[in-house]
Amino acid sequence: MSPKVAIVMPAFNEARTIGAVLKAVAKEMPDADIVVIDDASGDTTADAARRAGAKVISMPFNMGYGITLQTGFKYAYKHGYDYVVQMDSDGQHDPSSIRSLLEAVQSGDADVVIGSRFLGLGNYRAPFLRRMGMRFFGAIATILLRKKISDPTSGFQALNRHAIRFNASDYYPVDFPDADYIIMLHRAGLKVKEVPIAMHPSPSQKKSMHAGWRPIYYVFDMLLSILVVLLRKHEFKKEGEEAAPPQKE
Amino acid sequence: MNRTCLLITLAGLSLFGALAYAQSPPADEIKSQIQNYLAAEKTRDTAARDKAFLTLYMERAACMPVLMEQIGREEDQATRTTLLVLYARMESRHNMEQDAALASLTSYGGLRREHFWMALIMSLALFAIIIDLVRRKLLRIEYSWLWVLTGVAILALVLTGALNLVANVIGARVPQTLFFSGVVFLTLINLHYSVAISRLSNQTKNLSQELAVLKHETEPAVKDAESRQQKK
Repeated sequence: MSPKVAIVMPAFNEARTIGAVLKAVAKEMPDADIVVIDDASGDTTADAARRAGAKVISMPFNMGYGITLQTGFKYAYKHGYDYVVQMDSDGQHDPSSIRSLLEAVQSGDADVVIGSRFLGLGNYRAPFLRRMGMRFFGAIATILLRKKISDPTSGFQALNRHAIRFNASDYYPVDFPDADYIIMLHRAGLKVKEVPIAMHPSPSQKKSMHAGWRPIYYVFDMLLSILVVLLRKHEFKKEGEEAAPPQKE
Repeated sequence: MNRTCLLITLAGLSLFGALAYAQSPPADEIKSQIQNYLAAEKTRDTAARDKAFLTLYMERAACMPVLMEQIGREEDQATRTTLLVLYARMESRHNMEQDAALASLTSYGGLRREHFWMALIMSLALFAIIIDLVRRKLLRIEYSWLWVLTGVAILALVLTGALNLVANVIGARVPQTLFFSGVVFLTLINLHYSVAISRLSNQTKNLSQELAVLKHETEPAVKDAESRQQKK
């Protein structure tokens, strides 16, 4: 029996482009289930995704990227998926990279495989401040993991069942799951690995989450989150798979 | 750990309150000390005289009006002179101490030393409580930044000496202790609300996720039931 794979794609107001993106993903991964989590979009994103043959989970109200994404992991955990590939639905992530991510996690080298935009493939370049932020938090993660982390903010990842369970639990940092998330995985005993991916520039000119006051709050959030991760005792155990994900409320 | 912090803060506050409202000695006691001083002066017993002086000086604020009144009533010229000298000694010593205190002020951001430490400890305790709350997932980072900012603001006020300025601007002097403890209690209550809101938004988060998944799972059954109802 082949392993069950879910492609988890959070989406917010992507009605114009999501159909084509889903078709490309389905062509690349015909056996996988595509799960689109619609974060209460104002347009017809959910309908467009349903028409393209994806399973659509609709959030009751707009909850933000992290919470939307975690819903996908909760779904995948509940329905016994062995592997999850997490990717954006705006077409920035190239579906042709899914296989290399999945192979890396299926080989058992790591529990989480992160697609890095800075390991050679493609020519992605972030704006200056953003690049500085990524470098800074990437450096912190690199020091703590004793392993090169070049792209801590990448939303293109493949995960096995241990990591799915972690992401479905209350430990998952839903505010901005990036550098702190990688450090948390490491502290929980989950192995993290990066592989190179290609990246397209974002086709839709949406209001970035890195605008206005957000960068300052982001830096604060990330620093506090990392500090707190380091202060926490290792509560999450990688083993004991079939127990429900620890949840407080 | 959190409850301990709270208790320590409260204990510190009540101690300060108790000190501030400590009773001054009754006028009779002051009068008898003045008599001791006069007697020692007559017998040229300098040790006893200095002891009486110090006892009176400790209660300078309560002592001065009593002394003034006695000087006004005193008819014996020699005793009157002694009392005047006592008055002058107390004033000049007080002025000297004030000057010394003023000189030491600047290094504590224009605050009295104990106020400086109190404010410093308060802001550090606030930091510790917030970080502990976030660590135990009782406070979401989303709601913590304002508290960290408050801690930083208190610390900055203390270290730059702006706290003294603020106290002068709002005219806080006599009811300072009261005002201060009121603010502290409001702060703690607010922090409690932040914790409660964090819990609620976590519950909302989990509920919305569960609802979304459940809705997706029951979709076929609901559609089925709807179409059957339409056939009827």
